[in-house]
Amino acid sequence: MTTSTKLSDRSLGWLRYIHRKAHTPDDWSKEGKPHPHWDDRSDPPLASYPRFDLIDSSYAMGLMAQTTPAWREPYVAVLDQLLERHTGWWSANDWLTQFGDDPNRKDYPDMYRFLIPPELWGNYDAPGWTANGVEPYGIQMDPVAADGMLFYKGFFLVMLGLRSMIATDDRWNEPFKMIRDGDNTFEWSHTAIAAHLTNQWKDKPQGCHCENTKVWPL
Amino acid sequence: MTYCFYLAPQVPAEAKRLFAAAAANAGITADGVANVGSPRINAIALLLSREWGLKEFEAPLVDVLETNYEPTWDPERGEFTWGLGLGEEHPRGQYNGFLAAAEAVTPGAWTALSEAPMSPQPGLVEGVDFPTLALAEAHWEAGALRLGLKPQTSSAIGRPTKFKISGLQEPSHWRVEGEARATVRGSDLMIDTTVKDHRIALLPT
Repeated sequence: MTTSTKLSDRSLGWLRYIHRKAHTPDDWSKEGKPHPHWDDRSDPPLASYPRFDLIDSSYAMGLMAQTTPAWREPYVAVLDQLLERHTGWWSANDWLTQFGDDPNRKDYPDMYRFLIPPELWGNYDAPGWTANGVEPYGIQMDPVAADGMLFYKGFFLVMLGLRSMIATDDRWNEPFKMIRDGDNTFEWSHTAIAAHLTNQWKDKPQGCHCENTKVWPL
Repeated sequence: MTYCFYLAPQVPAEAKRLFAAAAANAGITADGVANVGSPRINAIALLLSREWGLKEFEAPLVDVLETNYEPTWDPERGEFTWGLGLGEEHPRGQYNGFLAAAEAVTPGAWTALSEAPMSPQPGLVEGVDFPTLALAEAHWEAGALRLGLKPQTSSAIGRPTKFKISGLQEPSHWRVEGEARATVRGSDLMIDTTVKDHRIALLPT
């Protein structure tokens, strides 16, 4: 690794931006709605959900911390704000609303054709449709415990891991509540999620589903 | 290309092979970038070019970003984002995230970050009045703490500010070099200084 000891003006400027964005109060509960500055529209149908903004905003925090190792406070503060939101209902708004097959799958735009086997066009859920409840899995409201949603728990673990790499405390190994929608409230910790996913990989060497029925090659 | 980012720290040889194929597929060559309309792919390609020191790809990707992705300063907030020419009220967060990572990465940094927790430091800076003041530099070098201070905006320059250095074994055994004053408070060393573009150092007495 080539050590750099100075952040660029642009990095500091973006740090100020993401710090303000992450600390602007909003409500990721089922009754609320994320602030519109969280990106829920890029690269549909796969990434057009607000949690992907949380994930993609986290990488620069870890990388900047490498350049200023004696000053990590703002990066951890931003990551905590991102992680807090990733425990809310809106972090899994796809999984918690997309039940069964996509009712619109006969009406997909042509741009989806590169994602769907030609012979199944009109009879196949596009990647991005999570299909909670399809057989044989049934309804699974906890997106971490679910057979599917690898991309939910996997990216969440990346965020948690980034924080654990740069922080001096172990906050997210204390149990915390996720989704927080009445009976659909689930308790996890960083280590518990990692252990659960490890067991899922062991049980399914072919790979875990992201969207139900869709195992990605990597 | 997206997979390359996640594979890079885990299986670098395979990630580099996949990167070569993905770059060719995306039209990223030393001569230019065919598709400027894929900010996620181009940002990840730039990040990995810098991570792996692939200068031949870095230059054309930087050119694409500078020309097409609307690097933008908000002078009142001292904030920097990429508007991507979309004319939207809020910068696209997902693309901005990868572009910011590409801006921040240094050779090997993504791999190092993924391999092990950061090393314990002899002292950590805490309580900086961010964003009014930011630290562009904060690292220990030859037993001294080197700090580079940056104001948020020109209007913030000249304000008094303070922060602390925590974790020092003997906080009374240090002196400050530069425009700042150090006082011991409990187990911490308090630094009083001014918001402006300057550097200070903490050295053992």
